[in-house]
Parts: sequence; structure tokens; C-alpha cells
Amino acid sequence: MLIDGGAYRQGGENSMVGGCYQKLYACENVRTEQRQYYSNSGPSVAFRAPGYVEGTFALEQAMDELARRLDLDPFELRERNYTRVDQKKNLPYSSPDALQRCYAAARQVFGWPRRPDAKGEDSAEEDSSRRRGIGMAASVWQGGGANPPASAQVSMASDGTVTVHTGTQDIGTGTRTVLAQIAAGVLCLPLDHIQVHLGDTGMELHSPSSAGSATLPTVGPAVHGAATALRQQLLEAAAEELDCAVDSLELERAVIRGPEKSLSLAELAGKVQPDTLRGQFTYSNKPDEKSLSTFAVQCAEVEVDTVTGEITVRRLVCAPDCGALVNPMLAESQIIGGVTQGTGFALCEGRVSDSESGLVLNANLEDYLIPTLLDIPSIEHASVELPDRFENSLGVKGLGEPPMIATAPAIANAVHDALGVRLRDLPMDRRSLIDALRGEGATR
Amino acid sequence: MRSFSYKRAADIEELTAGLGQGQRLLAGGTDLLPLLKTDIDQAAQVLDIKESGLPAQIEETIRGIEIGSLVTLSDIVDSPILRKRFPLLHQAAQQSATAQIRNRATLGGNLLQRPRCWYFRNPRSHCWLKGGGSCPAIAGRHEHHAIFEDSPCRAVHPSDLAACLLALGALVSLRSSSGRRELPLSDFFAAPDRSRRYETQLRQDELLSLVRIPRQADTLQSVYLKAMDRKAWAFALVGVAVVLTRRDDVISGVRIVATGVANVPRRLERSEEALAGTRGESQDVDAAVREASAGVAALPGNAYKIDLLERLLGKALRDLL
Repeated sequence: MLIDGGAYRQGGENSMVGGCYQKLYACENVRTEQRQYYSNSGPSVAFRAPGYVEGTFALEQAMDELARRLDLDPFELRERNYTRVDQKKNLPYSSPDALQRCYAAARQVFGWPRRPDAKGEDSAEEDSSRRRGIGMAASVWQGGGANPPASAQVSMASDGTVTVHTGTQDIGTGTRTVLAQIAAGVLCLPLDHIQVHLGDTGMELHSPSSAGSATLPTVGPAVHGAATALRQQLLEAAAEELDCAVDSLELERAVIRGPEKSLSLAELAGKVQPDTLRGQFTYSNKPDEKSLSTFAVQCAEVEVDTVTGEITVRRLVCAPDCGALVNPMLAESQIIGGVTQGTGFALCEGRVSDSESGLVLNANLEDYLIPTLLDIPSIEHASVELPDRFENSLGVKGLGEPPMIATAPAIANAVHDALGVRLRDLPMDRRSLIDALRGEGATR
Repeated sequence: MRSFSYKRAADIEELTAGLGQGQRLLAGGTDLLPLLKTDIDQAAQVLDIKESGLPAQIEETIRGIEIGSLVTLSDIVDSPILRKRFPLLHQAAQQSATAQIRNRATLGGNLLQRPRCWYFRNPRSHCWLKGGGSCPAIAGRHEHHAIFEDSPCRAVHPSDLAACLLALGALVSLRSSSGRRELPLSDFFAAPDRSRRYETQLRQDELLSLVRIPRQADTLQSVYLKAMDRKAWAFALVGVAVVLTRRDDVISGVRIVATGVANVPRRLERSEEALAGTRGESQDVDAAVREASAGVAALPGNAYKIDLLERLLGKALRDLL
């Protein structure tokens, strides 16, 4: 694989384009070679699942071609070549069933292989020029697991309010909300009792960078550990106040119940010396005898106008493996965002540069087309709830990057199903479809 | 972006009196402001014409339908009379830009907007249209550029409405301090040449005050088809406007204009000739489609536009006939 790295190294650009070839299917003989060259162009930098998005577009179309040659359902071909081990590291996957569950969930929610009418069902005309097709693709991502160390502190003030302190940031993925949820869950408090203080490096609470879909699986267990430590302090303080044994106490809905008396957390906090209710935890390392990867499977239905070359994506289903679900609405938002970005990558986005001058010609939102609402169909989340307890105590995995990876090949495979033409370049714009239709001598 | 003076014109006399001194006229600003911000246009004076009294209505008169230059694209989308009489104008306006832009953008500005060519719009590219020696798109990236070689420049005119108005045989009224003249759009638009690196015949001291669509037969049929790289908010890769009338099943008049294929909207006269006088049967449509690309000189990266032009024209004709 050749990678155009631009004229300057920026870091993060030398992505693993061959990663999906090494990890997604059982194959004893895999060799990938990747070279980066310098070009008269702007620098390239990492972008949401770097390398895997690009590599998977090729691999998953090749798998589709192979399935057709073998006259096999594309799911079946993939399931026959299933791997429970990471062949590159020669280690078992921490969730060896995850991809299997993704296949099942995507297939079920999409209704695979329920095929829409080959001709558009909206059109009663016999000579309709519209063709519909379905396609699927799978993906693996090397991220989504924890990237320790990470530290967190959860403290309770004298008025009973709880603050979570971490050094991480919320880059739009909902970190603030899910960290509050984790602390609230441990402390049995309503969510609005928890404040989250992000990005505080002054307290020397280390967090990894917001990369590799690692924030939740890394910082989540740290917050969980810190909240658990605070909970223990609260129980011990309550045991003293109520004059009973710690293990005779129950914490429920902001109230600690003893065998005889009860005490609300706010009351307790007021009785304890200020600034002493503070739990800290450092998640320092994780076991390395298994390989963490995150998987996803996507299905697409498209309609293509064989006259005008217009592609309309009608449906997208995404089944990502994200471990335990902390917040279904945020998970769905990540999926909608990732699949939308994947659809842009598939249909309209792409950097255009002039090879002689090196100028990037479409560095604006007029020429660089991101999908509009009209370009995006309904995006369905086929939920796979499979906590990965080996990975971390919460069983959670990152979901920032995986939903974007398999979108473009799923759409390309659906276009092939509709028309019998294979689009091997991105974006699959009007020009590439018209050129393909001409090359195949398809109906005009 | 450079600093410029800003003034509002209170009436047309004040407006025309000051023309010709290099100031730019601001109405919707959807093209002018980006040009100023990127220094492509380095005007020192901006004259706001929104309250100048230039025509801002769509009116039916004895001479046809007149659309003021300050009419917005949204006004055109919403106009019942245009929608009924000339569906292609409704279709073209509705497929232009976004609702927000259509609310600001005026017809005058739409017809006079500069090319969206990514070399022309890039402040670091000194292209032919900006006074440079040659058009960098020819050896560079030209997938959105002209397939006809009518000029040293390969940029295409971006307006959807221009193609439709040209197909309707529209005329533009131009005003200056010394008077007014009316020009057919087909003469108004002209591919840039060495003495005039600009897409129209508008003089420095003139402004565009209104567009007139001459009276048409009641049986007129029309359609505008546009191909773009997303469902909305993109300029046409190719757009095709067809206006035709039939008498006793025979095509008595037809005008076909394509946009996105040449420096200015281009009439496909040979396709028109192939259809005129026929019954518009399948072989007639095929003949018209075959003639659409007569004389093209596509570049290696934009030959798909020939195909797209033929496909859209075939579909437009079949939809109408």
C-alpha cells in the first residue's frame, strides 16, 4: 500500500492501512507492505479510525467479489473465515464472540437478505431506470480499548454535591455525561448531583489523549475506582455516625441505611470534616495476554438511477461492538455521526489538490462536499451488548471510530448489487458512476 | 480582505451616476462577499443597492414576464405564475444553493456571479481569468470544468437559472447614466476572451435592472434537470434546460441550453435542429442526444460530462415528450 503523506510529516499520518487484512479474517498467510511517500501536497493527518477506513474499503469489496464468485452469501463467507484470535499478535481476542454478535445483529435488524424490488417500488412504470441493491461489510479496529494510565478523583463537598475530576476532555463524544453516569451509579445518586470537572491537569490527574476511541475504557474505570473509594469512605463514616458495622449498611438513593437508623449522604457530608471525602484511583495497567479490538458490521440499501448516475442511500444499519452500553442515546449519536461521516467518505468527500502547485483546491465548504441531511438515510443502531470484562472492570469499549469504517464498502457493495459495476475509487461521485456505467455498457 | 467604503444608494439615479468608478454593487452579497474576503475582488468601494429602487418584483406585462434584478431566488421558487408557466424556473431555483442562500441571493447577482472554478477562487492561483498566462485547470484538476473550448479559460458559469432563462429566450435590461439597452441573454453571456476576461457583455458603467421573458405559447413545456454530487447545495456538474412547443403533435419550437459544460450557458443548436419539425419520437430524441456533444473538446478528467449531458438531455426530452 502506498500512502501519500504530503510534503511534511505531522505525526499520526502513518496509519495502519493494512491492519484490517491482518486482523479481520482467519488466514494463515497474510503479508502487507505499506510505504509512505512524500508528495507536493499538504500534510496528511490522522482522521477517525485512520488507515482502517481506507483499507477496509478495498478489503470488504474484495470479500464481496469473492462471495459472488463462490456463490455464497457475503455473511456466510465471512463467518466461514471467522477468527477468534488476533493473528498479528498471536493472541486471543478479548471478546472473541463480538464480531459474531455484530453479524447476527446487523443481519437481523436489516432483515438480510430481504431484497427490495430490483426496480424502485415507488415507481409503477415498467421501464423504471432505478435499480436497488443491498450490501454489507465488516470492520475491525485496533482501538477502542483502554490506554492506561489514567487517574481520577471523586469528592463530596459538605453540602453533599459530588465532583468528578479528570484530566481528559470531551471532544463531542459525551465523555462528561458518561463519567457522571459512572460516578452516579457507584454512589447511588441522581445524575444531577454529579458535577464533572474535565481537563484539569493542575491536579496532576493523568489522562491519555483523546485518541483511539480510548477515553471511556480508560478514564471510565478510573472514575469508577475513585467513586468506589469515596463510597467506601462514606460507608465508613456512616458506620461511625450510626455506630454499626460497615457491612450492615446499605447505600440507596442518596441514603445510607443502617440496621436501625438512616442517614442521607448530605447529612453525612455535613458531619464529616470538610475536604476529607475524596476518593482517588489510578488505572495503571491492563493485562496483555489477550488482544483488544473492536468490530462492526454494516448493511446498506441503495437506489441508483441508471440514467443520471445518481446514488441514493436508502437505509444504513450499523452493529458495532462497544462492550457494555453506558448511555444508549449517546451510543446512537456516535453511530449516527460515524456512519454519516462514512457516507460522506463514500459519496462526496475527498481532498482535491493540484499536483503541480500543491494547492489544495477544495479547502472550503463550497467545494469540499460534506453530506447534507438529504444525503443521509435513516441510520439504525443494531445493538450488540457484550460487556468485555477482560478489557476493563466496566466492560466498556470506545465507540468513537468503529461506526465509520464499514460504511463506504457496504455502500459500494450495494451499488454493485444494484448495477453489477464495481466502484474502486472514492468518493463514489457522479463522475465515477458515469464512467463505470459507460465502461460496462450498462443501459442508458 | 481589504478595507472598502460602504454606501447605500437611495435611488436609481444616484446609483447609475456613480457607476464606472470601480465600485461593486451589493445586493444579496452571496457571491460578492466571498470574492472580497479572499481578495479575488479587491474593490475599494461597495455600493449597497438593496434600497435603490431597482425592480424587485415579478410582473406580467404586455411584453411578457419581467423579473426584477433584486428578486430573490426564494421569490422565484415561491412565484405561482412562474411555477405554472415556466416550471423549469421553479425547478432550477429550488435546486440552487440552500434556503438561507436563496433568501438572500438575487436574480441579478445570480446571472452575474463569477465562476466557481477552484483555481479562480484560490487567492494563490494566478489563473488566466485573473490576468495570468494560462488556465491551470487544463493540465490540472478539471473534473468540474468546461468540455467545450470556447475560451482560454475552462471555468463554467455556475447559474442554473441562466440556462433556463436562455432557453426561454429571455432578455436583460441594462441601465447606465446615459440610458438603457436591452440585450438577449444569448448575446449578454459571452465566453471570456483576451480583451474581456469576463463572462458577460455588461459594461463598467452599466447595471442589470431586469430580465424579461417574452410572451410564450400557452402550450409551452419545459424542464430543468441538474446533476450534482450531493442531493442539495452543490453547483451543477451538468444542467439541461429544455423548452418546447408542439403543434398538432409536431415540435414547432425547441430550445435546449446546457450549463456546466462551457464558460457560459450553451445552446445546443444542433440538438434543437434534430428535433424541430419532428414528432419527437424515440429516434428523434436519439438524434438530438447524438448531436448534443457536437464540437466538444473534453479534457482527460471531464469526459464523463459528455455522457452526463447526453443522459440528462435524453431524460429531459423523454420526460417532456
